[in-house]
Amino acid sequence: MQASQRLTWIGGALILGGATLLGCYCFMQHAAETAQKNAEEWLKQAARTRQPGGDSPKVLHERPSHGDVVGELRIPRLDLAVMVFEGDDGAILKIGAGHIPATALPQENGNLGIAAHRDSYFRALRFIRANDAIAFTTTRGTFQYTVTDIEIVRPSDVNVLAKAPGRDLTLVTCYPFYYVGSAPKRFIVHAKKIV
Amino acid sequence: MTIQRNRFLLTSLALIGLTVPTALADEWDKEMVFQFSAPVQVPGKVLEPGKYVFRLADSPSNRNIVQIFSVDERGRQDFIATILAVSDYRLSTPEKPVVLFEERHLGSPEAIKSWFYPGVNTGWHFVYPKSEQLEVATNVPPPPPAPVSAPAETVVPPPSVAEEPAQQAPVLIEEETVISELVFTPEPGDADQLGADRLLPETAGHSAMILLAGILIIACGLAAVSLSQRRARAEAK
Repeated sequence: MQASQRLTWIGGALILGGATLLGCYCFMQHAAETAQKNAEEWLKQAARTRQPGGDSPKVLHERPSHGDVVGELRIPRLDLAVMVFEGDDGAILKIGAGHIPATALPQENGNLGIAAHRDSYFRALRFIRANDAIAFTTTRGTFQYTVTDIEIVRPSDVNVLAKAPGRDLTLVTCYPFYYVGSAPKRFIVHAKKIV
Repeated sequence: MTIQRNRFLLTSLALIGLTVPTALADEWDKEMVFQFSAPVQVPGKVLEPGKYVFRLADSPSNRNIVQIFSVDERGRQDFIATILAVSDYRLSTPEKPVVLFEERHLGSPEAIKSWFYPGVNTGWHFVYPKSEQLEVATNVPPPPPAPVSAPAETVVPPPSVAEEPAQQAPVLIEEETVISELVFTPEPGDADQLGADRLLPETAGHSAMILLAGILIIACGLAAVSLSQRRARAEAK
């Protein structure tokens, strides 16, 4: 086989491989967007059915199961809006933000922990500032928070999720934001509940 | 003594004055947050005015190990001391957190004697070394000598042997302080249950890398195809 033919085959294989990767990316994005859209619809429906005069509400379990919709997180100044599901494993974080199990829920007193990918839903967190407003909407209503503290910690510093005065919501993502591969640190945003 | 007791009462009330709205609690580790407006003594340490977390160490076998942490403005906790307490008991179940103080030398900070978690009769009593305990002055002035003036015919009854009062043990003036407002209620979820070996979630994500890799590989493929076409044209010439 001539060198040029060989090169053509190699080029074709590379293009095919690259296209496959792009196809995977598009599929993942589509799946995430569909999950987000479905979750948003479910939350709206659940909120409607809870209003007086509505249909009998579907009772939400006290503690959500893995994969259940927990609520919607919004940070208006950063134009960030993401649906939050129960769980913080890879499968959940691919389709949205995850409520870290064993942390409090918004209607409870305690520290609500939410994690999301730094290269997708929490990318905008790199611009977050103290006193930024955060809203978390669940079937029980909307809870308002204000950012109190931002820190960068090691992955082993799980004490950032512990209950503490003025620490009602903690957002977790990887750091640095532009790091290629598994990031060595975690970017932590603490917020306190105001409503 | 009355003046000292009043001073003590006033001091105790002042100590707890800022504690009321900041008490927090937790079921397993009986976590409580206290804010002291004056120095307070615990075994081996004096806590400066500020906010402190009292909680039981995570030991299923010994539930009398009390850990104390200071809390700064950001809510960060710094370890202060570990105290091996002994169980204390109340007849009445407290509905609110209760702290018992002991008096110390004038000018010395009051010492925490015991504290009780709301809804539980059993609390934790801090044991202090003798050097830290109150020393009560035992200087009792001797009674004045009896006048020697009885007439000869008067039978003077033998002096009664009155028992001298036993040397009084140090009087511990206890002031029970009830935290009147419980701000925080125990929660079913607790990040401490994450476990010591747990890490924060892995949130790096690979979608961006997949996208970048796909674009690069396609670019390499196009470059290879372009190069092969150029060679083919050169060979044809």
